[in-house]
Amino acid sequence: MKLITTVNGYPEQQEIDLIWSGYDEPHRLNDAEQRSSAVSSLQIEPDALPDAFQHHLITARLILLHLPAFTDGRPYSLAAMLRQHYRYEGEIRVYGDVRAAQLDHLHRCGINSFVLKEDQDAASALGQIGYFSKWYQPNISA
Amino acid sequence: MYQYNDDDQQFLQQRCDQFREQTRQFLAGDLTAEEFQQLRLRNGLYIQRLAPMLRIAIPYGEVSAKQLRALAAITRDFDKGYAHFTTRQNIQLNWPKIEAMPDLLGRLAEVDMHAIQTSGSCIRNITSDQFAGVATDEIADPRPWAELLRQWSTLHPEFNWLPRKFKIAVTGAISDRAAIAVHDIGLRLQSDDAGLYFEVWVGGGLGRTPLIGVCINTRLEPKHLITYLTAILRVYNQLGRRDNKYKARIKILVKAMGKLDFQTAVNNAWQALKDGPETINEDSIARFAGHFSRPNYLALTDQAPSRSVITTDQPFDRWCAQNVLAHQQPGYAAVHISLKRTGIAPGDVSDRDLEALADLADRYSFGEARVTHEQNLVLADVEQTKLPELYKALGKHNLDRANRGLATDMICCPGGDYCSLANAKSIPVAAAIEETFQDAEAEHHLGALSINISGCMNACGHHHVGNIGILGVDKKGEEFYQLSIGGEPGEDARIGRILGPSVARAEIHWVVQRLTQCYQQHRLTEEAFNQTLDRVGIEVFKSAAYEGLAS
Repeated sequence: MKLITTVNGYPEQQEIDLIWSGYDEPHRLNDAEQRSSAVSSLQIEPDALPDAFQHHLITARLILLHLPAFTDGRPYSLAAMLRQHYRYEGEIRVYGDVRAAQLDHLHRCGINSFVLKEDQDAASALGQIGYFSKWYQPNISA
Repeated sequence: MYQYNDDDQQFLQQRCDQFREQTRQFLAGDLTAEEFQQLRLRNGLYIQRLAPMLRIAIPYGEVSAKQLRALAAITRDFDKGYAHFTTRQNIQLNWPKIEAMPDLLGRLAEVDMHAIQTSGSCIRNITSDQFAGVATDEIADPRPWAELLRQWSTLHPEFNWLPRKFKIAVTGAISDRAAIAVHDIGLRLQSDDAGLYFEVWVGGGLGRTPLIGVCINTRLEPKHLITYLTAILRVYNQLGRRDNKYKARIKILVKAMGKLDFQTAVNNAWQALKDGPETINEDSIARFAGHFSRPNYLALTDQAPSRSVITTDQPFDRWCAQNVLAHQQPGYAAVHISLKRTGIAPGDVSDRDLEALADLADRYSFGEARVTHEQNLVLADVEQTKLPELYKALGKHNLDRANRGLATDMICCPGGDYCSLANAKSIPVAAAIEETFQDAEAEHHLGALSINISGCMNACGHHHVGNIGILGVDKKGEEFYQLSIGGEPGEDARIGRILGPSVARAEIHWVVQRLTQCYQQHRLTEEAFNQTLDRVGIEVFKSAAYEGLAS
């Protein structure tokens, strides 16, 4: 598990090869790169559906999930599907409106890397994980 | 009844501790109001018109005598000595203080109660048939499944931030008393030669866009219940609209996609889950069923043949005919206790009422009671020979009204007196209608009739599925009421049709009276309100309703 704190809550963009959203064409950050070249990091907007980008999952090592608002549940299901349906085993990193109180549920959906929102306390965020001794559902392991 | 084990209790304690800390952070200014709002909602706490409102979960409506006593004490210690049973089998307090919430939740936890997920965009309290386990038309007891779903949905990591609230109802009887067709997911237990199975209904609901659900799986093996529901929720969580909260319920998604495409999406999502770790094995089905084993019934025989026709004007006989229902076990009966009493808001109970009910539950019904979605209570396991003394005891507490399913058994939301969403008051409307039915004889003669009242289009009072539905609307600051007729909640569920222009508060009860008179005038023998309506047409009722009304 990885906890990343940044100034603005957003990760460094250089890390990302490809941004995928539900409506726009996939957007490559480096135009010089060949379309066929292996994508190792993907940024997924919450409206994207995994079926559309699943061909990249073989080479991907890092998937960034955007949580635009802490009340948006889509990245939770995206992460769960990536793990359960597509058997993706690499890093899933969530960024955006990531708050301490949510870390546990995000983690239980198979997300193993978190870019905390700037005003959140890292220690209290980590304290959320494993706060409950037992759950009523199995966890999706990262 | 489900008994908490050590794990359940520890979980609840940790949830209380967590909320205590969140409340502390909020009051200290370390947690924003915006974030605390979402956290408190998932612990049942709303901020209402006059004070906070706490909605306490009563899973599938089952409550013990011990819990009723604890609730009574809590209404005294934290509130004004009364509470309100809701249309989702829950109970609400109207005046708790935010600062006192952690202590209040702690007191609830002492009796295995909580307010988890009674609000917020997540899976709400699972509701069911109030006669589960005792109804004579039962195919299978829905409670083990309701409890299984309660546990599964409690702090589910993936489904805590859905586009909108999500309501699941389960029925196991021929007659659908859980109104499954107007739920986000409605489950109906059925059985055939190959065994038990579920019909899965999706996309029903009331509110701004009332819709009857569609059946997307006609035969789901029970062991797949969790994985299949996960697939439905997953599709909804991803594709449900988040741009407009009025279009965010699953019913809008199902309607937009169409039944077939939605079904396909669910089946695709299900493939990754089916037969996976959340498949329910025989052991756990047996374990859940074990919590709902039959109480220690005495070997008795049925008393008098069940009376379906009122043959005498004796109050006890009338009460038996109206409020006492047949039971699976010979010599026992299920007793309906009316919470629709003159001068008291529908579904409201005082601390003394709660204590009296707890005593009666202990004395006559194995220490348990049930809440109905019509905001009444049930003692499910009463010996038939003890009915006369139970009736007398209920009378002492003004709980003996023989009006189950009659005109004064109105469903009514708290409305503008309490709720900050309401456009108009609903309790005074119920009171005004109730006043026109003071003659119990006339009410019995009128027969079965549902009048449902909501103070706004969120439809907590289920107005769309009332034979007569009343919806409060705001017209330039004045309270008006829109009428619909022909609604039905059960296995023949349908949405009522709007009758015509809305009417002022001063007129509404007279309009209702004219509608009932119209029904009586036109009905054939044994004909229900909706049958008469279907036969003579809405225009007949419309002209009766608006006759002589200043427009």
